[in-house]
Amino acid sequence: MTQPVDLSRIDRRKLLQLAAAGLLAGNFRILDAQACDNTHHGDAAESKPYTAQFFTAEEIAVLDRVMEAILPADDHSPGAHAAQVPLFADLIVANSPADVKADWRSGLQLLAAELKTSSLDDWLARTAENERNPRTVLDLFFAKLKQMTVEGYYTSRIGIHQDLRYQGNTYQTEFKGCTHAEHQTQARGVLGVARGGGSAAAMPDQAS
Amino acid sequence: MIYDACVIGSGAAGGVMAKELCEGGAKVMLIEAGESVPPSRFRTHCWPYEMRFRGFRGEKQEPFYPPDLTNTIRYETQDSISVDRIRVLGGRTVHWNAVVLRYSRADFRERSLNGIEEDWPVSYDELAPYYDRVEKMIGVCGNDDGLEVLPAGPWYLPPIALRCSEEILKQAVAPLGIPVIAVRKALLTRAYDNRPPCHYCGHCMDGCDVSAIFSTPSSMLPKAVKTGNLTLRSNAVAREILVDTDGRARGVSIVDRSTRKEEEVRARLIVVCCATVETARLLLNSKSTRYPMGLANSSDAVGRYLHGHLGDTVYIYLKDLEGKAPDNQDGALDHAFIPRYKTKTPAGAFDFQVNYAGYMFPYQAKFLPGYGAEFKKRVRQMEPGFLMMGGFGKVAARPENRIIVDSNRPDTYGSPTPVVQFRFGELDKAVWNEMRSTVADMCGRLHGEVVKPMGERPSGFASHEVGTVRMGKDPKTSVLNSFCQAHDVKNLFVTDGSSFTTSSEKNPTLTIMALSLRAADYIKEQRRRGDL
Repeated sequence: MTQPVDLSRIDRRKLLQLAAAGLLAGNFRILDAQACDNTHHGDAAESKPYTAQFFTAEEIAVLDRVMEAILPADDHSPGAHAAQVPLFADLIVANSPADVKADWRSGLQLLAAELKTSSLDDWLARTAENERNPRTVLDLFFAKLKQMTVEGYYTSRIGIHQDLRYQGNTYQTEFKGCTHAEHQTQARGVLGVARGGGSAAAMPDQAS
Repeated sequence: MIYDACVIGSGAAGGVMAKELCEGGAKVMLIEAGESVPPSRFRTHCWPYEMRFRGFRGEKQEPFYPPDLTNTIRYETQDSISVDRIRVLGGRTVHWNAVVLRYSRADFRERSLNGIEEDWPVSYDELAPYYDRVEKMIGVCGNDDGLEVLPAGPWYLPPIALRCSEEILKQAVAPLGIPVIAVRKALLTRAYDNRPPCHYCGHCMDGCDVSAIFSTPSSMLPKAVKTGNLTLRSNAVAREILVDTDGRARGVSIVDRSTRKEEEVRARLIVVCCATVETARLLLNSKSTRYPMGLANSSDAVGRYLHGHLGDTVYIYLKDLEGKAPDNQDGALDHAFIPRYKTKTPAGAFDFQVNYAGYMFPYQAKFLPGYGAEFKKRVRQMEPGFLMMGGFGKVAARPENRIIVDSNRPDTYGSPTPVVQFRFGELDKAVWNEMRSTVADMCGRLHGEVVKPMGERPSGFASHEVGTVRMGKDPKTSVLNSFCQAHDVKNLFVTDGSSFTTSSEKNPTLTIMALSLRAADYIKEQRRRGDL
């Protein structure tokens, strides 16, 4: 029989030590220290050098310009270029059905032609005006480019950590919730006071 | 070897059934089509950039959705519906938000109270002791809010604290008479039953690596194994339930997915827990001279009365929180819950899960117009104000909505594949419209920007599909009695969501487990008396 351990008062490191030492009872299973570690289980696509599989160097160059214009570097964080969003786009399109590939190729051809007579800034300003009601094939292509840029950027290291400064996906011993007086409801009485689970002293420590 | 019982499917229903029967001394064979995946392989804390497609292009946790088992379904409908097809040891209990809600007294009595559908052959009061026991078994956090619509039991762990956005919501909608309460989840807010508490990483849906959320493999199977009575066969597909000349079930024909060899598992009784689509499919595929319409289907109700939840999600960004410093909001996903509050009209059968999805991806970026530095800044500013409300509404059980099987399109193992024929009805549309108008009222009282409103036409199922092997008093119009025992075949039980007579706006899992536990007690008693 194992010793009782107050699991609610220990941190992850301690939890792993206990698990490793076999001090946690029966069916409590951390089979592997990695299981609750904040480490990588995925295919670390971004950390490996990636070479474009579908787009040509010229196409990548166009994507790079447009995507950086959609989500540019600013004084807060780097933009789509630094986050290598064109290469993310390449991976996604390279693994898509033939009609999706064809759409991207023809869209980029149209865009390259457009950019011979118009500056990128002018085209973006014009097409963005029609964003809610796209009128041309290039308007539709802008929506596709923007969607891909948003998805690639905000799932990259730069987008998550440097731009949004996302604080989550960590191990916390408690969740405090809202602690601001101005957000607390004054209307608790309206709907009755709940009999809290915390007060249900009868809750045993073991299930049956 | 002849087992005392063969349980097919290891999800919420199969897990509790296998544990209870094993503890009652029965030799149990548990069959699961998917693989057994240890928590160390869950991608619980994985960052998007560590996944090949960053979760896009339908990228799912391997091997939760093996194509040979999951890509076999076909939808014949113009409505937007889908069902989750996970196949893994533990089923959907390794991939869920763990919201566990008791049905109310009224939810079992639609015919008597509203003149629609049917009454269940079991009442709330009969099921209440089983709800109590299941909640104790799995560990549930939350409160007894004293609401008739959401009955409570004696044991709850402390609720999860509300976030700022949820406190603001609560304050804003109180004048409308809309309650915002702490959600009830099968999630530990303190250590319980040798499982550690939640560490608030916000990745419940990826499988909980420490089992702070209830799952069959973490909580039920170890107890079943401990009895020495459990034989687990994962990676084995049930093709057909076989019958004796006297009409009783004698065993299950299974195919091993690695060797592709077919064999027969013999058992004195069979419990089917494959979830609503696959359970109906298995019975319909179990045809014999004795049962030409499929097993236990003299009523022609098997496959019929398919229903589930309709639902949609609204994203709103609260001005009060805009521009705040980034904070760790992940928690345990949904903490707050809006129970059904319009109880006088059938169209009021909806509730809301609040903030049930993750905080990592800025959804507003997909909906805001514009581009460039201003756009990027706007996305960033809005992020702390994120509030998501997911409405879940009742769908009526109607015989024309159904699962059929297509023998012209067999799967890899030669079994006819499931086809879903479904349309939302008038009552469903009324619920949808009422829910939309409530959402509009709530948003009207919140100082914020709605970037994604609810759709105009109903969509749904939300993995909450039920009803295809329903319980009922009359063997002519139902498949199972109130103990989930087939009217036609005494030693056949079905204890998953397919057994529901009707559904409510509440998530079905807790009721599935209570029904399965009640059936297990009944089986144990019948075995003791020598009747099974």
